[in-house]
Amino acid sequence: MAGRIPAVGRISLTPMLSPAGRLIGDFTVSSLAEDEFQLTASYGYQAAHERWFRQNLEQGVTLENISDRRTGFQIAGPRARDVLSAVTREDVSANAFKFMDVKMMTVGMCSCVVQRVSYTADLGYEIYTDAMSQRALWDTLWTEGQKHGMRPFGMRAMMSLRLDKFFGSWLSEFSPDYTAAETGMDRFIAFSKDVDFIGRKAAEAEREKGSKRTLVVFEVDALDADVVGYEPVWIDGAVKGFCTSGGYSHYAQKSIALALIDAGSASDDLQAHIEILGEMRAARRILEPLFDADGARMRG
Amino acid sequence: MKTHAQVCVIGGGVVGCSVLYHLTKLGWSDVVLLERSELTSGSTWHAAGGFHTLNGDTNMAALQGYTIKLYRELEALTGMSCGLHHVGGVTLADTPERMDMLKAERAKHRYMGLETEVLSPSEIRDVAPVTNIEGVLGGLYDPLDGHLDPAGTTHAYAKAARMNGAEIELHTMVTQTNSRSDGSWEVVTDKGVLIAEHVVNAGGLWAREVGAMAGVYLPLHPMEHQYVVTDDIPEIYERAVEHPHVMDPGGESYLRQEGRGLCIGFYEQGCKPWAVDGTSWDFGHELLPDNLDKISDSIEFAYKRFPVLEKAGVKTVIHGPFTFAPDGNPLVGPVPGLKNYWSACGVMAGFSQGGGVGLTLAQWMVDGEPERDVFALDVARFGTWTTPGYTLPKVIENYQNRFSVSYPNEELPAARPFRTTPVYDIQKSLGAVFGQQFGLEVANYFALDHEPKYETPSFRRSNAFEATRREVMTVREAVGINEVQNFGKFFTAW
Repeated sequence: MAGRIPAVGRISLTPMLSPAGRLIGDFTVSSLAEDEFQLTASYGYQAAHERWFRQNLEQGVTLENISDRRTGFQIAGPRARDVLSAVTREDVSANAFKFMDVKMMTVGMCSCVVQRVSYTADLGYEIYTDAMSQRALWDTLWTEGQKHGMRPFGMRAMMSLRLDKFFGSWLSEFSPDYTAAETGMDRFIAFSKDVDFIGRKAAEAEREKGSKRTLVVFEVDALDADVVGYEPVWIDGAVKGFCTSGGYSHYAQKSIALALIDAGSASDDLQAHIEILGEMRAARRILEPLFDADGARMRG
Repeated sequence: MKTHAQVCVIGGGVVGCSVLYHLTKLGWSDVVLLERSELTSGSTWHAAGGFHTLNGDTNMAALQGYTIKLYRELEALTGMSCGLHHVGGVTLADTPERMDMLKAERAKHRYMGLETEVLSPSEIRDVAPVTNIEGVLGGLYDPLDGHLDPAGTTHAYAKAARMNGAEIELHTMVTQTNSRSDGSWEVVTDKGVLIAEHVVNAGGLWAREVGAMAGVYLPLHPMEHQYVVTDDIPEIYERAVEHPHVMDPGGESYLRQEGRGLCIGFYEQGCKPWAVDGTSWDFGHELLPDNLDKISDSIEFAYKRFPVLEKAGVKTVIHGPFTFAPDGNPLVGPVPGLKNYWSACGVMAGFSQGGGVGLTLAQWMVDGEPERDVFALDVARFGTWTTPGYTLPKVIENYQNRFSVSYPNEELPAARPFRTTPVYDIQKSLGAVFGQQFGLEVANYFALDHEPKYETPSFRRSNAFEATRREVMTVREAVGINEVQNFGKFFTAW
């Protein structure tokens, strides 16, 4: 892991690099106890990640793939804390349970690991328990949740919500096709730590040279089709990059695209065209998140 | 036969030979290929030999482009002929959705260095005159499309590998692969034992059986496939230039010139899996009996699209098996759970992808990592959940969908629901419309009672748009609940 490993009770985000500095993982690391961690990443990539871990496992380190043994729910939105505080005796007030904290607590009847982090870019908690307890956990959260207007949401909503803070997603923005610096993940690399993490040399070299491409965010003048991925970006009559992902922010009611373009073209006020299904759609670069720009909701 | 080698490649089809060549290209010469019969046995020898760059996955398309450009390089290197016919190819669009897909693909090609072109119906008629353009909205022309001689090409890979120091043992059957405590492999054959640091399973039709020797199941399945070669057709042999390939997705067919006539193959809906309980070691360099009933609907359609076919005589019918993974992409890379054991199988498009597969695996083995994101062909995109019972219906679906438009939001239905969490039925009762990840059912969105419980596949905003809006606003205004099963989770300690 190229990033900071958190202290007990804390979570950090960290990229995992290949020896050549390519992004081969985008992890959440949670420290449950001294020398005990839960790592969270893509479900679909778990076999590839486990293969890499086992290839590089040091003596004395234990590793278990608990993807199907631990499951649960995330609850997200302004009433999420109200719901959680009603179903646990643990103090989950804002100051006691801070953004990027992880705590063990009983929720209803279930023993849970609760992480205060959410890909929805909102106030949110990921609540994990063992698979056999999942239904009981659902009953607890859902029953309490009805008093607060709780409804279920799925992956389509998740992928729209994440656009509001320009969160990249695995295999779209973060993939072995790209390096940490190209996609902004380099801000999570802990260069100061005294560890020769895999990919360190390559990451240091890139930090020195800079990268030729950079990730930018566009608001798109779309019609009935949003960016999906790989649409070319035209700047001044030439193709200068391509979209890594996109979609529609239902919150802000804007069509959004994340794109990897020539670093030299990435001015703050960039105007471009994105070719969606054979049509050139105007796009302008945006810098300010579409929601919770000061982080008061997510971190408060 | 050598008693020790750095790499032992099992299987002498185009994939095995490409892997062998690419290992030597990247500097490893202590490599040997073991083939139980002759090179090209299995699926390679009876392949129609077409190649193209079109692939929904950008990295796969780039590897296909690499494969195609490699053939000239091989010819120059070895002095052998691959029998290349770079005649170009056009993929027809007979629906607006297909046209959307072709336009999106053409746009991607702009930064991939692939010079494809969208054609109008009359331009299609000019470049591919045997095509009846009635109902055709347009097409995508790829100048790199073409076909080759499967045997010549495979032998060119083999010769190039030998020139770099590789050895090939024919009529040598592998009967066991046993792992050794130092991570190397004992490869037992009917001609002696070879100790190899690495083993590559390029077993093709027998990849399952070869995998079983190492205690692994590789999720692939053979399918029967037919193509028909016609007698001479004047509209073809009287042309000054060779007729380009034509892919007719509506007719689920691919057509090209063959000699003085045409060759047309079908991905029929009424397809048949082959060797469901395993591939017999008795099967060799042979074909299956003709079964024109299976493709009779496809042939009728083809007569409308390509009228010259109706009066052409049939010279030969080629009916043979080749292997597919559940999603139709190859199975490449280090096999999870084993050390120094590599997969290079399930390559249904051996002549579009064989070079790219060989390069990818050689980079992985020699350099430690491929130069690009190859998850689309990584054997680890599947897991222990990918059983033979799952693989068979998915492979059949993939074959039937070979010419279907593939949409960014579609969730293919075969072999589903498979793995579910304890709250699956609760989610369903709340209107969940599911997709699949790594065998697991995951809720994409929740439809209201009166809304369809099915998302229409589309390149544009789908019928999930309103539901998604509702869910987003619930999160931003109140509180939403979402299952977190679909995260990969690991526990580590020391």
